[in-house]
Amino acid sequence: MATTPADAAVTPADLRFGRIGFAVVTLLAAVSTVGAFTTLDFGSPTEPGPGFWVGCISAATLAFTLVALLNPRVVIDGVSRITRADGVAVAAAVPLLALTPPLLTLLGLTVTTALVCLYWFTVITRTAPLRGLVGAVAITMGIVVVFIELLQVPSPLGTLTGIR
Amino acid sequence: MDILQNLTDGLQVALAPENLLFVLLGVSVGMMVGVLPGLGPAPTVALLLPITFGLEPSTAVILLAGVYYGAMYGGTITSVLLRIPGEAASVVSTVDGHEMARQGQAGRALGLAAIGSFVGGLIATCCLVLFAPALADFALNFGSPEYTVLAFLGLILVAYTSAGTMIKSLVAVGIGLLLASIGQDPMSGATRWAFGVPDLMGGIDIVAVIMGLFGLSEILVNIVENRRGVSTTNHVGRVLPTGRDLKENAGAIGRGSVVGTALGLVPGGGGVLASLVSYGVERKVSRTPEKFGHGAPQAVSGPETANNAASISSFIPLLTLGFPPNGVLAVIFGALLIQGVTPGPTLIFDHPDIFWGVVGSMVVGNLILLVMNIPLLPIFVRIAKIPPAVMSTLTVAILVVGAYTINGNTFDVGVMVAAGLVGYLLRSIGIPPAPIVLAFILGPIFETNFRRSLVLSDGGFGIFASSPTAIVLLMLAFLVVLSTALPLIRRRRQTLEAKD
Repeated sequence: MATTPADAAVTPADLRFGRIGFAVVTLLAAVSTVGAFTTLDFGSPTEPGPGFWVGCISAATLAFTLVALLNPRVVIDGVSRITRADGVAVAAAVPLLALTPPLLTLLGLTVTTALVCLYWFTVITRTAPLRGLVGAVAITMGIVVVFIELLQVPSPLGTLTGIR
Repeated sequence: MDILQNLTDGLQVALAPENLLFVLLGVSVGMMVGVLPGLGPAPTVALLLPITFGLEPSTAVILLAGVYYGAMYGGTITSVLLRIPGEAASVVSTVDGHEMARQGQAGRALGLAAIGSFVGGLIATCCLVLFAPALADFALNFGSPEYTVLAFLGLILVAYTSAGTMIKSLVAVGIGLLLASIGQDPMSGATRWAFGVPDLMGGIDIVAVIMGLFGLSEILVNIVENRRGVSTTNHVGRVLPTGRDLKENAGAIGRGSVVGTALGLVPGGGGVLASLVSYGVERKVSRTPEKFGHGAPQAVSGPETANNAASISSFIPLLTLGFPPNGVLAVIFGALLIQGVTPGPTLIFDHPDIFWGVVGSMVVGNLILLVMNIPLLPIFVRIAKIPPAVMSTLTVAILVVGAYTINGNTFDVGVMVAAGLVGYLLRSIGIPPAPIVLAFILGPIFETNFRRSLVLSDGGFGIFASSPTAIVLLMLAFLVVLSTALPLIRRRRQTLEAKD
């Protein structure tokens, strides 16, 4: 990521990135505000309902995001524009991360951990395949010993593999 | 007399073989975390949470506290030797500390930092011992209005002291409060934002959110850097400071202790703020300010003392008011909740073993760190060379396993992943994760007491200024807002005048 402090030279790309990001947050805050007022019981100050707090907080958050969005100095502060390299790497990680919960149910903790490690080593950190395999096996063994054997934490039994 | 008795009991708890082992484990892990760039104390404490599930509450907090103040010691090593801050609170030492290393005085810088950290840690522990019981006693009289105003002040201070502009931190606070509102309404029991998903009806788990926001988002932020290696190291030299060194740095260590202890109490403060302020103070009082930036020992001993003192005094608001002042303490708050212990003014009376045991462990832990720091330096330097690819893969694996073990369901893994991705995107637009987590924790306290106060007062907002304590807290919040708004108004006026 390319960090951009408020006083540093600001590129139009940084500003655009910050604005788009803040526009999305503003939109979500607006949806939350509308949702709180239309779907939850607001009540009254004497008898506040479930929507009272959510409505107040959503409206306040929406106000803050609007103030930020309208002020370029605020928008740009602390923006770390996601570079192409970052974007590609994170995009490669997203499918693995999204698949992890169902994989845990299907394959169990041990196999899922090994697959996650192997994928992370070889695809995300671009470690050589053999090294990645050795590293994945070592880390999985370590995790099984510490978490399953020593700490005996609950671990899912894979419906496909039949092992933890 | 009571305090001495309690402290003795606390030391007995800390010196019990199991607790002593976990103090040692905590400070060792903390030192390693401090040494390893990229992995800060908050993600590590979050990663270690699953390990604490099977421990006694006091042992769990002793372990996690050890990681926190251990990281303050460890961060100095890479700052001085490699000019890479192992964790954020050691950034200041990369300048003068590394300059001292280049002049062949790395050992001197590290020795002074270790002794300063030890003294700062002890002074902050003394403050914890002296003031925490009195503060807890005072807080027992708090009603809903006082808690509401205290939560409000806490969130304002978190936003004020967080990195970046206050408005972005306020947005983060809003996001945290909204996330906390998912699930059952604390007053009526009605469901909010569950969208028919059964797992959402009970709300989202704080630990999964913390693991995602601090742990996974950190890994994603550094994803490209994780492909690169860490190289180079320096000759350490003599570590034990001379009598003259100690005499020359006594003032800096003393001032660092005071600054750190005070700033550790401030929500959003902690080690980073303390070390920066301490550096500024030392430069101001120095007779040779021109040496700062060129290897001034006081520029290392003062800030390093301050960051350790802050890490310990930040336990005061958590253990007495139930308010975590920073991200690491927020995770420890979560750890206590998992153990069935609610941090707050009654903790010290209901669970004296936890409070005094943690205090005792801080004395023991700081002593262990001082002893460990000097002979084990070469080992910690070697740890800094572990390939980032291995660290990031190990962290992701522990995050997945850790999130699953919170409640034994895959939904929490999904929450952790979602929180990590959202945290990554929010960080990219400059919204920090710490205020989100702190607001998430304070949200239920804030909402329940706010709504209860309104019911008590028949909808009158005057209840929030109905007691001297509430008025003082409100005035403090007002002053914080004013101190942020005034410079902005002045700048705007100047701009308008310039245009005219």
